[in-house]
Amino acid sequence: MNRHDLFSGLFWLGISIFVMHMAQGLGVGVLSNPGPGFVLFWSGLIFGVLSIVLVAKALLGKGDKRILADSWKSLKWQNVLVTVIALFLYASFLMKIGFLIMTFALMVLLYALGKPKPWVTVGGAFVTISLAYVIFHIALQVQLPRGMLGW
Amino acid sequence: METLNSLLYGFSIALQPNNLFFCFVGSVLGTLVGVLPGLGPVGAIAILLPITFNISATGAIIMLAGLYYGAMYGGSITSILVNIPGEAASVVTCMDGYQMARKGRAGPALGISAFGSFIAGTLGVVGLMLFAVPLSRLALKFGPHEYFSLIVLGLTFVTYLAHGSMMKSVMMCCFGLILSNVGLDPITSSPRITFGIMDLFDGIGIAPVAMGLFGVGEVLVNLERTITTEMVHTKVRHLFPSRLDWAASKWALARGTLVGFFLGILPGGGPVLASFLSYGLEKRISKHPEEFGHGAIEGVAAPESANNSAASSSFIPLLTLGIPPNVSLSILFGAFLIHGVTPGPFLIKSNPDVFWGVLSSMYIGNVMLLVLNLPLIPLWVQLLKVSDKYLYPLILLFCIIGAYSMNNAVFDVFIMIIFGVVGYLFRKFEYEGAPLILAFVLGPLLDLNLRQALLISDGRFVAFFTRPISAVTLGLAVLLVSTAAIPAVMKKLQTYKESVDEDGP
Repeated sequence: MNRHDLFSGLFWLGISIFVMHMAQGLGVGVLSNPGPGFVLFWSGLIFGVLSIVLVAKALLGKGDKRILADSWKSLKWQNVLVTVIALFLYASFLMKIGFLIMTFALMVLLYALGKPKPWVTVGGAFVTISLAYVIFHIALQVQLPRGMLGW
Repeated sequence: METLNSLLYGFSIALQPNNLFFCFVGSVLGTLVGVLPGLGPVGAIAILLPITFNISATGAIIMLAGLYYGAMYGGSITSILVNIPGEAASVVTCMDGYQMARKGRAGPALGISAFGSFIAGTLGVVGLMLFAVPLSRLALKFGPHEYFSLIVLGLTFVTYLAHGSMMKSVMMCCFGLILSNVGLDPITSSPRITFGIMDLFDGIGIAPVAMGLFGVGEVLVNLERTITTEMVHTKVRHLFPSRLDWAASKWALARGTLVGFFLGILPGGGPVLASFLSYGLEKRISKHPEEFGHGAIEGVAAPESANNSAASSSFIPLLTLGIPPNVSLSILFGAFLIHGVTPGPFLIKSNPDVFWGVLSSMYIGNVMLLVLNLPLIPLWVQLLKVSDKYLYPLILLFCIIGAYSMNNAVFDVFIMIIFGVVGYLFRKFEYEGAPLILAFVLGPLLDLNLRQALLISDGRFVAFFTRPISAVTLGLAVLLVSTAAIPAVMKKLQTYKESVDEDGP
């Protein structure tokens, strides 16, 4: 049994059912007068049917015996987890705290994942945000969030 | 004569100092993106798109187009020297390019790759110039039926050419279409799947989705791996191929250019398919096929000319029909729209400065790439030594700033991160992002044209088959699906027959 296809297929099936439900609420219409949910409904239906086929193939398949954990075996998945959490925290507090402080903290963390010397981490983060600020904010006039400090 | 006049007009725009600068920046950045494994032209165009907001539409498209075809030049450098393709269209160049480098012939391999790219890229632009005007006149006759059928053909090609399971690719197309429906309905203006969130009323932006899937997703995948590259320690010399090298590769160059040009035009085709097919063709017709894979110079010349020719010709459907034939150009399509320019049959009339300016800049860009690339090869080699641990934080930072500056909204940063995680999981669960992105970009066009076509033909679906262009296009799509499905069905029947025979009396 291919658990990758089984779980992803079930997930997509759930999505397709939700989409079809939403499409019906919007109005699928008829062929001579298709509604706003027309393409949504038919895309959802094909998506759902294919998800069922994928789940069925995963359940009936004999060859692939991989389990989910195999995809992360002997890999540094912790790096990914830390990065994703950091990115979400970054986006959550970006407007409140501001671009410079948040980006400095994020860069320190991301550089630290490579395990260089501490001064390289901090220095690299400082140089990176300084250059980013000069290029994007000053030269290209991108409006970056100022945050609570106002700069 | 009219074309020549228009071309001269285009050069008068492309040769303006600011446009020359954008062409230069695009070409250099494209080469850099091509050289660095991990970040392809798709992610790079998406990341750099927001920084073009403050420049003119012509300058922005010149730069992003330069980035696209520049990546084709750069991709071969890593393929030849490190055996790691800088981007997908250079995968096949590894086979003979790296072997040539191992035999001490890195110089001629890089040389023929650069000259081949230049010749094919320039000829591709000539073809684009000659084909675009008549095709855009023909495209004026296209109605919703024809547009719908063309989009279906494009999506069929993308799923047909998928690396993995075709079924999963079709699923990704459906998912892309679903995502493209988020926002206001183009006909009734009623909100669809917005959950009352104001940021979703304009739909999900192409740039955050593409940056997430191809930029953040790629970084996340690479963060958990330890990549070791084996660089060939040889002096790169004799970059100008010898007379023998030219003699061996001239027909491969010519065939690669032709194959690339026609495959570039096809919806769903493009540089990747062109490079693989031209390599296969060369090997098949070669008098010494056994040398392929062991350092045959034709094995470098053919795919490199094909991918550059295809990169040029793939602008034909985008500029004349308004249909992006591949994922990179679908992001470029988004760039056109963001800058208030609609690619399609009216582009030549409504924005001749953009059309002829971009086209002329491609001639200049190809010359720039040739002049820049050969002397700069040692610099690109040095860049390859930059550690990933410094590169990935920078890519993430570019993605964040890019996503935020689209609308000055942190919502787009969240969208990008979410699609970054989705892109990462796609790689784990063996799904492809390319069909999703193409369907996502073409989704609104498909929705609008399908519904308009059905309204016009009073719900008769058969109308798609009674119009010649639409019928031929849909017929091609059906043929493609059949060629993929029939062998699989036959194999299943064979297996079933064998199992019945074994269990028989």
